[in-house]
Amino acid sequence: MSRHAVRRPPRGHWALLLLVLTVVITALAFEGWTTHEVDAARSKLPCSTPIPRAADTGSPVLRLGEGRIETAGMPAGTAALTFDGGPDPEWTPRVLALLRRYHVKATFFVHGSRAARYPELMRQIRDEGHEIGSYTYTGGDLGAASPLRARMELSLTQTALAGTAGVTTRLLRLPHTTASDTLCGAEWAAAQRAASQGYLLVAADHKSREPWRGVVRQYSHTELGYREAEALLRDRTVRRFTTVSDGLGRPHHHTQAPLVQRLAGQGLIQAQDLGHVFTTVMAWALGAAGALSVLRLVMLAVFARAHVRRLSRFRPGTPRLRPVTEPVTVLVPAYNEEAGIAATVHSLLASSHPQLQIVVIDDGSTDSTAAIAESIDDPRVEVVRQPNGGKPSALNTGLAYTRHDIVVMVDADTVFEPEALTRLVQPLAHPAVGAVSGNTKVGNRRSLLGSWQHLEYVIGFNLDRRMFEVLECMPTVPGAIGAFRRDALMGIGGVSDDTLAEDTDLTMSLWRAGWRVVYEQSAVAWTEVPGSLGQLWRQRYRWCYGTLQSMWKHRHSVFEMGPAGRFGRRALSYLCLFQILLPLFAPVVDVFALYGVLFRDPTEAILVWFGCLVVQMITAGYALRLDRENLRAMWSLPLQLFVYRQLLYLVVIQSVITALLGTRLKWHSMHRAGTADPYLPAAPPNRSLLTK
Amino acid sequence: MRGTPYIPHEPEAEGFPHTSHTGEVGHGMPARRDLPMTHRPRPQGQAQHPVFIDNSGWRRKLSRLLAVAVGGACIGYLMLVAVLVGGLWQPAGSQPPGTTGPLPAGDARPAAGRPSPAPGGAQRIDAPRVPGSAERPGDRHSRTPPSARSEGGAPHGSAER
Repeated sequence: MSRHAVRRPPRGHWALLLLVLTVVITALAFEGWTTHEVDAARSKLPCSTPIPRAADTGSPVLRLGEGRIETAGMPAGTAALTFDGGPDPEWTPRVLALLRRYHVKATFFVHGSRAARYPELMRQIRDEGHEIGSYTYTGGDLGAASPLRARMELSLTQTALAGTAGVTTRLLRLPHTTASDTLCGAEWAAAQRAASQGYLLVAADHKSREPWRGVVRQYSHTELGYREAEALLRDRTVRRFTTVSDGLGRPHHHTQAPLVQRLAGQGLIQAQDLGHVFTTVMAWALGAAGALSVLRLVMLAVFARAHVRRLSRFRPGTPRLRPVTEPVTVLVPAYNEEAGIAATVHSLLASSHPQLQIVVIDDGSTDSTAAIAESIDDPRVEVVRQPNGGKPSALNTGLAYTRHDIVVMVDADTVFEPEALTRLVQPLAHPAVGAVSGNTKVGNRRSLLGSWQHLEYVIGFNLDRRMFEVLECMPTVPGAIGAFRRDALMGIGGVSDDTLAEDTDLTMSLWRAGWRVVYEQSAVAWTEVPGSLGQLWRQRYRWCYGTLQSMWKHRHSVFEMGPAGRFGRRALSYLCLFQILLPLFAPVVDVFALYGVLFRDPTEAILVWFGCLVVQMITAGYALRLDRENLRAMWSLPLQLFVYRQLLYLVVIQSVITALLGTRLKWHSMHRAGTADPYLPAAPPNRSLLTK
Repeated sequence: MRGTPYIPHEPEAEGFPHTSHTGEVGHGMPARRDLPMTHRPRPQGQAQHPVFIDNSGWRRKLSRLLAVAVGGACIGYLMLVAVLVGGLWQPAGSQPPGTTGPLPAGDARPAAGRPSPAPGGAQRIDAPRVPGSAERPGDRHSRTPPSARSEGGAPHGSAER
């Protein structure tokens, strides 16, 4: 039935994310291109060859077509005012007002990008009867640009003009040019290409040419341009002020644009706005991610230092207590662990604690785990078999067989140091302490993946644990090495199978029940971490999803009082910020880094990356020193920033999506629906357990 | 839950509302409000079923709807980009508009040529001074430059649009 249908982990969201990523990259690339960061063509290259003789007549209007060059200029007594580089929100209205005052029409050569930003100014220019020409999209030097870029500039300008003013134009002025002889060198090639796309090139007359002889004058949208235009308008020697086309005796060279082009223009304006929005959002996200990372590192450093100082100092409020020598029960739940179970049990048997009871719970293994465990010839070892029910149920079964008051939970692939058990249970001498977390170290750290995880355990888990210890908000006692009071476990009803991360869930339940959870860093256990990316992915997916579940299950602890409330507020905030939000921002950092390397200055991006690497190395070095590990483990740190980080944040994305969708995964199906399940084969264990 | 140490979760549900010895754990537990906080069963709000699992599937359906909406918007944007890029191959025209020659409509009027003052053989277009009128044939005074100096052919004749 679909109610309990088991599904595969969700996969459709990756396609959607890829699509969104494509859109974001396109918008960013367009934005970068518009602001000259992409394919920069900012300054005019010096000329190597002059313009052809036929064009070198001094006339400003150039027509390159049909294999010949024609030039034209204004007749005597006629001046054409042209304004470059608009529309400008401050100066264009003032220029328009000036032209209105003198009843004069002028020609405006506008940037396409600015036209798209100020469509109302464009409409005003058109409505007042002035002529509109193209000044390329971004104003980059067309001679220095690639032919593709030049084509894009001209075409996009047309589209922008169509979308804002509803016109297409045939007039073009090349940026960074003044008189026609400045169209030399690479500019001439660009001019020829532009002419082949149907543009009439308009330069300007030399400044030295007197206006009564007929001039085309070029002004910018600035104070200087305004003043010069005003001075020319007052010049008595000019009989007529016109647009360029009127001066040539032609109709205006801009015409009504077809509907399709106008629609495309509207779309272009929206797209440009979208690019702005994305860049701003990305910049904020980048800032947030950077701030969070720095905050985390600072907090870790400060609290780790505090923790270290605590260990060597006597703190008031922590009385010196007697050593704990009570007998201890060790629970070892195992499912298909034939490879490691013998080593684990032997290491436990070799521990220095005086009295031990080791209970190996075989959770319906299909290999020879139970047989190996049973073959261990030691009276302290008991083996319990049960049909497969998951780790929580195995632990609860083990609890039913527990004879002592201190319970240590161990993973079946974890190897204990001889002193670890004793050291682990010492903090339980204080009656308020309900659980103790030990220190897990990575055993198989030779491979690249193992080395990354070793660094992660040392920096992340152990530095984090010191901070949690100082702040009194330890969210997880690892299932690999954790000591508990049996009373505490019974009080909360044993190990719950509500979540996939039963260790986190258990710890949070203990805090909420009023117990304290502490960290004993000298109790060391060696664990084997996944060796392949697939196993690592599954492990982290399970951990992350389980942590999300636990956080949601215990969300009410934020409002509680006492240690439970303090734990809730601190631990949940920390987990939200640094285990969920920061990894979700991390892709933005990667996208920006890629954008920076490809489109912006690569050296700047590499410098930033180096800076991050140095900060990470300092943190790693400090963490390794604190844990007395060999500093040589840092060799894999540079690579870790590339692949490992991505894996971790992809896992977070996958977990969040799975949580949002509410999919029932295969992992969940191991758990039974309820005690009323008619297919339950075994009866609950003897009730008289409680009277022991 | 199989394997759980048996502890009554909700003593009221088992039909034991009467008060008896306080503090006795097991059957016959007093009503919840009579028990001190430390003996009460687990606080409410803790899930008795796996967290986040949504059996009815409404979250999945809603997410699918949202995904389709966002995906549609993205595809629309990419199509717009494709249209804009396609516009690259549609130039404004095949050649620049003519600066001389007959206009679409209007009568031809010969205009007096004027010798160009520039010694470099500049050419000028004379336009009779009628403001506001766009229908004007331009007539050109051409001085054919010496053939040695011309490049790309001597310009004469009407330039077609």
